[in-house]
Amino acid sequence: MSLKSRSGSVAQLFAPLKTATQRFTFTVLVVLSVLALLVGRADPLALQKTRLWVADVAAPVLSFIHQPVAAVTSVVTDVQDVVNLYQENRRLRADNATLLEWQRVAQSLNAENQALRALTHYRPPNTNWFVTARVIGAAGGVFSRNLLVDRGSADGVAPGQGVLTGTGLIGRIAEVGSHTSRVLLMTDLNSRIPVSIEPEHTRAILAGDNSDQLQLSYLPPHTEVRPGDRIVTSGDGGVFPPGIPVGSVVAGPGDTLAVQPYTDLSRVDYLRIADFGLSGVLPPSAAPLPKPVKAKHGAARKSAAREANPRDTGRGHTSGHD
Amino acid sequence: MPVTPAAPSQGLVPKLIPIISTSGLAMLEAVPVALPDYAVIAPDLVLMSTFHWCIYRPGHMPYLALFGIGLFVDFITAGPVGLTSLVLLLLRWTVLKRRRDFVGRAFPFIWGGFTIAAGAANALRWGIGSVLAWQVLDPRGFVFQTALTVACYPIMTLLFARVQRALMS
Repeated sequence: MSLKSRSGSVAQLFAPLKTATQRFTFTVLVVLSVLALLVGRADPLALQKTRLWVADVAAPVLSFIHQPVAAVTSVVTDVQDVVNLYQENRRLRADNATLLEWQRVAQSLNAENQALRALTHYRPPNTNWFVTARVIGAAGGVFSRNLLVDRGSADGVAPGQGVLTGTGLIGRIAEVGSHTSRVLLMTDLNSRIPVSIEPEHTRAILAGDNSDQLQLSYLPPHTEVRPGDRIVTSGDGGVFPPGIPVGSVVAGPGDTLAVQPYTDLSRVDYLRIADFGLSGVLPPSAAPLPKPVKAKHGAARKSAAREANPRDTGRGHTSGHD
Repeated sequence: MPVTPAAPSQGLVPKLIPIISTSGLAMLEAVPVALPDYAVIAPDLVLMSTFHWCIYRPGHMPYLALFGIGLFVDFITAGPVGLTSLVLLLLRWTVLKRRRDFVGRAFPFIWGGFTIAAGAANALRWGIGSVLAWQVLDPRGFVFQTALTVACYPIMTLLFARVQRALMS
């Protein structure tokens, strides 16, 4: 018998064993996957440390891959911009005329505001500290709306801090690793932000539903909300100060109304993480820290975060209470 | 585009190509793309890669690797941990059961098989995701993602086939 045929017969001999091992591996791994799902559902914070560790480890690679992807995306958006150039120019001219009118109004109101503030010794709310971060991961899609940014506890980032762009609020810090953090966008299913609807300062809760627009809930009875109304944070709950722009009311499908964020959340590259010096509903151990120090994620925070998070759907981050 | 069925590959690197390419695509999926609604309908590159390699190089795409890649995807995207692993494990198991039907067949047949697999995978994700969130998730995102994944499969499988011929034959 040749060596080849002998090795063939050995392989045939071990084939059932190999099949049984594969079947066993498959069963064990399926059971482990289901267990992970159940653990994640029962205790969303149980896997948080691992998730943050994975994000920290993957951050340099994600940051590296992001550059060519951003270059390609920029070409696509440039082409879109060129195609829309004529219409965009006409729109901007019309906007400019309107804005010049508003500028005159703003200057007049600003002067009046300064005079009234001086009269009442008004102290404006402070942003104690902020840091600029770059988006290195946009995750979730159908399951959640969140961003992974390249700043973590080593840079002074802490859970609960507000996340803004030049046009307004986009969310808050949900999880913090050493060099990365996860931003819970306000469009996420778990996000709830107390807001005020201008001009009548009606209080409501702005809820995300994993779509591009947000929903207003807990509106007082007989409230009239119209498309174009401006939505700002109300300051209730003590996480965000009042008056941060969030979005404007738009007509949804049918007779419904929705809120369109001021910031296009799909095109955020850089953002600002701000500490307003407010601890809000977050427990002291998870409260935003005013200066760069290493944050600790202890068991006290875990249990308290659960108390502050009654609507958590088991996806591992706390809901966006304001 | 018929691709040759599993043939013995020499060396460690060719053997690792299915795992490396799928892991690389998992990383690529997490990178933000500044196009409107892209995150919701982004094609599932990992699913395409897993399906392809499970047909043509099943021995180089073991269950353990798929479990690890699935966990990585769930951790990095903050999705329900274990869901992608479960989907990839079930995909490999199903493909191996039907592998004889796929190998050597014309591409439209394989594409049809992938359409069914992608639809079933996303239906499973939608179902489990809805149960975990305890509310019915909007199915439109899953439908669009399935459609885009199926539409992109021929391009991706062409790339995989080129890699296979260049590095693994």
